[in-house]
Amino acid sequence: MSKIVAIHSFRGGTGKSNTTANLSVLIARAGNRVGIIDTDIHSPGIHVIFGRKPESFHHTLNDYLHGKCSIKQAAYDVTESAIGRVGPDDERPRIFLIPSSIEVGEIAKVLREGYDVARLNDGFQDLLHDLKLDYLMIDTHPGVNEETLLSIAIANSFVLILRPDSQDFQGTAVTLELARRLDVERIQVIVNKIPPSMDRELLREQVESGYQAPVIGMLPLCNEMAELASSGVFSNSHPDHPLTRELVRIADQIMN
Amino acid sequence: MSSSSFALELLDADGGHVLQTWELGDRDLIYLGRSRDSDVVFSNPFVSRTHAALQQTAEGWELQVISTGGVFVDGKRIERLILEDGVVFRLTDRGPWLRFQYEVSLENQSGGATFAFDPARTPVFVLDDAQLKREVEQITGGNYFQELQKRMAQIRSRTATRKAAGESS
Repeated sequence: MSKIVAIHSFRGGTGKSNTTANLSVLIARAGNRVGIIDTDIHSPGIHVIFGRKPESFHHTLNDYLHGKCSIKQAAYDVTESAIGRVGPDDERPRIFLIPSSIEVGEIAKVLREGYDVARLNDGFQDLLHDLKLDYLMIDTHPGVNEETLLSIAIANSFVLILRPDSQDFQGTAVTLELARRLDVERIQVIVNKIPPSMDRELLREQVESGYQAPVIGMLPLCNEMAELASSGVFSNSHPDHPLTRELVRIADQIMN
Repeated sequence: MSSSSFALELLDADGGHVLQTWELGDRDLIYLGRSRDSDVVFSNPFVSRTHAALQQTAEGWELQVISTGGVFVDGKRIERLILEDGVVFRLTDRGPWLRFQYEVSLENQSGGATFAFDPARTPVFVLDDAQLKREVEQITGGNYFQELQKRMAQIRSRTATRKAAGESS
């Protein structure tokens, strides 16, 4: 019963990579094998949160798409840095990172040259099978481009992250409508970086009524998260923080 | 008069006369739009429900364009603008003309907009349905989207076949 979860935000700066990293760790800790595909290695990406340097990756998702390696060769076991030491023979929990250098321009180029969308889907399915993944999390590019659309279409579950901001609100609605037209099975919404003074229930009501989709998490604007500056996984360093508790609830709803 | 206050003036088509003035006091973010939830409400049909926002930044008051209908200064579409005293801008190329004034003259003040809520506490998120429809159609009308939609049915059935094969092996 493995599942592909695409995590997306309409604009940058929503905390998408940090949220993806934390949810992946929490889902893995619940006794799962989790793969994370980062589709944005050129800007500070999810590998940073797991303490990995891009140079340490011999293969990326790009190499797989260009037929230079199997998708499994582009997957790196980051369990120790993400969760801590587990027994060498323990199958669970495990976390794998599949880095990528796909940029909008490059994907467009690949598509022009006759790239088969089915190959990326095959890659995702191979990952689920070869690494015996329970969950594959796709950390997508902000905005809407071909690669995003494909990730959305392939996902079983689509998680949208936005800030309480009117541009985010309007733009996210577009992505959400596209996901509906691509027949995504499940759409869920997370509101992040909520100012402490804001009326949270009213906010939830407005988002749910505007989007007709469930809000599975309301995350506060958090100084401690900002101070961590993507140098680690927040839920590891702050296990009892209210933000971590809310992240745990979100992870439960993704796994549910 | 506090130093941070300013006013927006609605000008007539010739740009000479002030039809209405909104004095905007101590706030950091002001929404302009047709929606009744906007801070400054316009009944003009060219104005989107949430058309633009004025935000206090380190550089001064900044006009941020939200609607695809746009904001125009001297006939040119702008994306954002640091507002200088007396600058005139237009919501869409056919909508109302507005003048930004740091100095508020009380005689012209006509009220019209009330500030019964604090946007920092009270979220006001309303979708601009027309804009949403336009933007969705722009993407779904494209070749890539239509091709993807067609291919997804094939891809999904192939995935199901692979899964079934994987389970039986």
